[in-house]
Amino acid sequence: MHKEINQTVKDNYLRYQSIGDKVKTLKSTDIVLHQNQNHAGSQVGDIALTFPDDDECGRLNVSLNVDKTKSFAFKIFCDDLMPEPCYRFDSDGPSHTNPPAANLVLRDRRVHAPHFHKYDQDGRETAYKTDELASDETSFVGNYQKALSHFFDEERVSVEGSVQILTETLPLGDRDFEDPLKGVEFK
Amino acid sequence: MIDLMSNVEGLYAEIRSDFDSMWSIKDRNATVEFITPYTTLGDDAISVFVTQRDDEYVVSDGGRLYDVGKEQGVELDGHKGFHYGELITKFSVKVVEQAQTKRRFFYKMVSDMKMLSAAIYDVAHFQEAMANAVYLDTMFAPEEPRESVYFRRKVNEALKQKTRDLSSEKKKYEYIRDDKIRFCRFSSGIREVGTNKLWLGMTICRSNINNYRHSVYQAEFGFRYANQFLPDADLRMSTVVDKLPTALVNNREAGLLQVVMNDWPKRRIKSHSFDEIIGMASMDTLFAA
Repeated sequence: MHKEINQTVKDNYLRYQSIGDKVKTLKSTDIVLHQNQNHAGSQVGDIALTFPDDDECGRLNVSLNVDKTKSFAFKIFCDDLMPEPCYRFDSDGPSHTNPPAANLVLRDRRVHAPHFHKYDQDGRETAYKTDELASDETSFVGNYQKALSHFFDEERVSVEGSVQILTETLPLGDRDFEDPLKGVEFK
Repeated sequence: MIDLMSNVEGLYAEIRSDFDSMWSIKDRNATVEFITPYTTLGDDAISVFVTQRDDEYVVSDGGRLYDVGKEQGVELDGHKGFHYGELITKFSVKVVEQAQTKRRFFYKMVSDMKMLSAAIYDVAHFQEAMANAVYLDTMFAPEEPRESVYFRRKVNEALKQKTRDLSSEKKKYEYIRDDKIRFCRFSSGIREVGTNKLWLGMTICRSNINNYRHSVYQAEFGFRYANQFLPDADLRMSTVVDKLPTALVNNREAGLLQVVMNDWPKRRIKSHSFDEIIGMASMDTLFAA
């Protein structure tokens, strides 16, 4: 559930930061997606992340919406710290408006998807775009491979070889933003 | 700083241009997503999706409100406080639910292109009102009651265990949690079997100020009336707090706890209602006397 302030991050900000800063290693290169039990329209898969000195436990979570939106998301969880993802990338979905507390000029408050999310020191979730994402956003929308490797760069995940996302029902490939109203009958 | 009144036109132009810059579109094949300048309390920009069916334009939320409900774990029409029906009437929107996915869409249909802006305006504001009704109820609602319940449970479990551990042939303790005790807001009690000695425990969860205040009010009530409800008992009443206070507990809101905790935990509480305050870790001391 979305909360205005994530108290856990606020109270443990240094630890939260170090989870992002440390170089994490992906334990396997095959990410197998399965049906999400809590959400009919989505498939998810997890792979463990190894931290240097094994001082944290973490996982990479890949989710794919097979419903109307056909978007995908990459998240880094640290279950010991909190149930919410620490860092994430969304390929599509609502544009984020960074809150008044961020004190930005109006023009800079909007961050359209695809975008990254992280928390600030007050436990407030903020969205941002990397330079690569800002300059060529559509090339990331359908290309999960490109998006994933960019996510790994941004979140310091190291991996040997190339990562494969395995899903039975939906071949992932290059495509545009999906039409959420396809096939919907309005009276 | 530019004088406000000397440059009204310029400022007006600049502000409008800033607001305009909030608009954006996304091409979604047969649908256009208009990203409006409006934003929900969840910090999501409000988008309106426009598509065409036969000779009419459909202006809808694209299923975004359904997503808000999912994300916040609620049914949009499942709670009076969301004002679901009222908002649908107020903004004159229609609802369609997809049989297979149960995904719900809120929309308006217009055939005259001139009415498109009005429909976008309405659907955007409907989404804003509906999403915010949900967020006000969920996002800002204190989660902490659960935390205080969790803490009380933890204390009670520990006390049950202690009661068992410390009971011997000579002295027998009994853990009690009956209606009388709960009526005067105590979490639990321990009776020394065969005597009228009764220890009552009140948990105070200090995870946030609302919680704290609530716990303290409960304690106030309990400590004040316990004697009347349990006239025959030789009472000893304690407060168990979840976090050891560091310096000073000065609860102005309740005007109740004024305890210098520096010399914790030796000092007895001088307040009219508290016998003592103990941390969870020092629950052992309860049985020392």
